Amino acid sequence: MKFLITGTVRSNQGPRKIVLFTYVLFFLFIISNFYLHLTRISFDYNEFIQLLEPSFTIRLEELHINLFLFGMYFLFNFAMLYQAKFSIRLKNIIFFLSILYFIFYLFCLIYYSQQKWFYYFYLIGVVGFYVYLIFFQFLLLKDVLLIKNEK
Amino acid sequence: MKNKYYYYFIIFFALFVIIQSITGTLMFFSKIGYKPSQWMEYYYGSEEMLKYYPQESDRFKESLTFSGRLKVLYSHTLAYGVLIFAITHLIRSLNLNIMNKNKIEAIITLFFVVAILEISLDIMLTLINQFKLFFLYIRFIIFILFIALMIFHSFLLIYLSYKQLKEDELSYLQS
Repeated sequence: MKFLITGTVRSNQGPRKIVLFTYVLFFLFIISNFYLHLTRISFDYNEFIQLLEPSFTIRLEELHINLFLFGMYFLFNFAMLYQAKFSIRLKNIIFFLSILYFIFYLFCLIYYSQQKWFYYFYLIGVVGFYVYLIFFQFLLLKDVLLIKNEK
Repeated sequence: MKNKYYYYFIIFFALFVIIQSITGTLMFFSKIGYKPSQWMEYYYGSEEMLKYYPQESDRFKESLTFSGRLKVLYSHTLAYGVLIFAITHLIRSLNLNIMNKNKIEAIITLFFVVAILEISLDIMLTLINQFKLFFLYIRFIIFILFIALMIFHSFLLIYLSYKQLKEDELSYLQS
């Protein structure tokens, strides 16, 4: 954890291999979670409302688990984001966009409505969130892979 | 720590821990209940509950099993370990010269002890045959204490991040 705080991942003794393999596992985490969500929902509106979980307790449980998983995921990745060689403007945009999208995603998990607007809202909030995370993770992975060429 | 946004995402992390504590509390009350008779029914089934609270209605609930609680225990021990480690590690790293280090160490130790008690009491309740109601009260008190400590540590993390941010800004202006 020390390199997350001291920001020494780019130094010669920086744990780049560890970070690289952690990113591979993060990719698996995002893809598996994405697939799990896709199996639970439908892109057809009528099927979608049938598949939506009506129990508040179960939705709350899912929110609770996701808060832990993504809380840890973002803690690690934001620390890495600020060590990446992007412009500070880009880093800030990614940071705030991630927070906003994450809140949007959490709202979709806890809210329940059979109205059509929620169907589109859910697709953008949940499916879009995972597509965004793949892009976000790819950006960080690309940065770690490029560190070696800087020396 | 040169980038001020580092403090912002620690604050963001602490806020999500607070939300997680709130969802955990809501889940606790919606699953287990808020009355001793409901706790009794949740852990030991309706039949046992009616021995203590005959005025309550029978909902024909089965008692919890050791293996059932073990499934909850194994996932929560890892989650508690990682989450508390992350929070306390950040608190120790940020507390350079703001608060008394010995006091912080004592609070962190208490946090870990309460977390271990919280998780082990849940499974131990399925093994207890005597003083069931007493241990249910203890389990409830420990849970409230655990949530309170989780929220307290999150606010402490926010406070330390804010203080360090101000200190960094001040030293930057002075240089």
